[in-house]
Amino acid sequence: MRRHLPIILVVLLTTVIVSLFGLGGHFGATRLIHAQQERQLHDLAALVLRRTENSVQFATDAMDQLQSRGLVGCAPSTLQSIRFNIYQLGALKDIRVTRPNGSVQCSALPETLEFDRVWPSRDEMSATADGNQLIFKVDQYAQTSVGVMTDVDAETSLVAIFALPPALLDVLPEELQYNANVIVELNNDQLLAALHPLAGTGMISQFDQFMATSEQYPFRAVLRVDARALSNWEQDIYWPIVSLVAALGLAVSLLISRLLLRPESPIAEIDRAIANEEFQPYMQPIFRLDTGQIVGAEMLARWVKPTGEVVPPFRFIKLAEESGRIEAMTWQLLKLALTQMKPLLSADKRFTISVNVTPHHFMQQGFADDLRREVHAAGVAYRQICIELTEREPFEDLGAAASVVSTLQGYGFKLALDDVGIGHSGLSHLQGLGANTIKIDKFFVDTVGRDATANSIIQMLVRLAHELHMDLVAEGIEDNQQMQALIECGVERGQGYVVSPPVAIPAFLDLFEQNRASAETPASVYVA
Amino acid sequence: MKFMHKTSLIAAAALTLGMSAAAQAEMIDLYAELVGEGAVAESGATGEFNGTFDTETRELSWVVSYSGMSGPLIGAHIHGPAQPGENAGIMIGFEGIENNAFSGSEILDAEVVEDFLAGLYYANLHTEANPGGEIRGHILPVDSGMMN
Repeated sequence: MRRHLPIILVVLLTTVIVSLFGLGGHFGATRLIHAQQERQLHDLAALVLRRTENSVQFATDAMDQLQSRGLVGCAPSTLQSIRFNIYQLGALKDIRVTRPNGSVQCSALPETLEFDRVWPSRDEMSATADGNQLIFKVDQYAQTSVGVMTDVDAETSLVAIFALPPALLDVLPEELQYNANVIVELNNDQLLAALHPLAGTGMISQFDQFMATSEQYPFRAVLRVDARALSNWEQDIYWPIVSLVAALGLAVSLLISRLLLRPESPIAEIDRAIANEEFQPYMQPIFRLDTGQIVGAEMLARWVKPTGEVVPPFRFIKLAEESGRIEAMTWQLLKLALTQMKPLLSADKRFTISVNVTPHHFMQQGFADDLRREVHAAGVAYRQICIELTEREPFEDLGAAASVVSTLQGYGFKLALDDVGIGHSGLSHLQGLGANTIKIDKFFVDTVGRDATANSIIQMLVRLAHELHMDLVAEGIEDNQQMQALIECGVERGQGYVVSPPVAIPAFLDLFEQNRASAETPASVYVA
Repeated sequence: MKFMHKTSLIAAAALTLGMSAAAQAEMIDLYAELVGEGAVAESGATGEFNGTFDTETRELSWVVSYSGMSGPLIGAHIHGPAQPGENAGIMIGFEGIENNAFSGSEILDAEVVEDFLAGLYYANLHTEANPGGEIRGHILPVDSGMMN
């Protein structure tokens, strides 16, 4: 069967579709993974921020407690109580009493004062959103701490100092720990705490940043992750997604391929073949049994495909009839045959071309006129065209059919009844149609000379034809014995492989020329 | 530095010092011997703080030198107010401390001048081995007659 696309194009198309889907899968998976990573890392930054906020809140609560108990001041007993609180709470490094400008009045743990690298003034501290506290970096030897200052009154403030321990910042998954750093920094960019700080310096040339900024406090948590490490992190779903989408692409491409490679519907093939004039008229000689002289030919359809393949009629005629294409096919074949046979028909005015017409076609309105117009246009005499009607299908209205026969005969056309003796209508067609020729079916010819019944039927048809003034043609003659037996039965003309199978018109014309050249030669010379 | 006020209010400074508004401006020489104290008494390192204080401008100028330290300085400050043997917060951070002698100046806040001249501030030099301070000494006026 003909296919719409060569297989190589289908393979190419499949490759392209699968590649496109694969590419789409790649982008989709990458986006999905990136979105997941972004969400996770933002969540982790938010976790660090929340922990830091909790630490600040813890320090603020501690100072509030001291205030509520009146433990604010530099008296040794007060400082001792504050020290006890620091000891109890554990997380604080020191609590200092300051002036509102930030300068230290005293410290619960005064030795820690010596560990300060610098100490900021109030205007270098960052206020919280509600303005109740000031947050600042406490730069100490070997460590950075966070200071939270809260004003007690116009003369006195309290500062709680605590560090953000590494554990608080240790939120990164193992795969990223050495390729990222976690930072808590003030909004003025002062660093309060960092984990894996080396990862954030020269070791990372290009990083992605994920940030969570506090609404209440003037600091933020930042995760800086090496872009290369990120591209290798949590890629587990990449290949499944790409594979799945590529498989989907394969399925789609297979579906498209099936559609493209689906055999063309037979009817569409016939339509296309008619449009391309792939149906060609073949001619099988009708000859005199006694001399072998070719006196006519039956036009038979052959489907000659562009590949050169010749398709026999049993593979398409029935479908053409059922699908209503037989009429167009018949006209096309007739036109081609008349054009190509015109020289012979002009040279031999007794030569007849038989054309098979279905009863349905025959009974179509205007058939007789169309036929006449077609034959007239070709410049061929009407009497040289014989319309063969099959007896295999009955005419619904035999009278109407007889009327068409009569009209055609009035123009000069001849009528032959095909398949006589094996059809559904018995001899009714023979009686009612008034045809010019009876064609004896191969069914009887096959056994003529060997089966007395076949001989009797043929002899009966010969007598019938004679009485009705009809011609007789025996079809399907394959050997000399059959031909001899038919002659003995009184049959004068025949067709069959004994002389020639149906052949293309150029071959037929050659055969005709040879036949004429040896007109006097006995028929046996044609036996293949 | 942190407590430096750039505005110069001579009258306010004079009041803070308990002097009359008509008191004359005076340059006060300051000195501190910097030695190891407490846990670091046997450090062996020594140093000196030599300074002057302008009562009119409240500008404190200093030259600090040291030797025999256990290692490079990681910090050096003036802390206060504190009695000898006590600790206090940073008032001034010295700069140029990588050299064995360094100098500088700052304007003191008016409210700290009295305590400062009363010897309640001390210089402290920090090293890696002694981050709490390797040598220190309270800064005292050389001329006790400065309050005339």
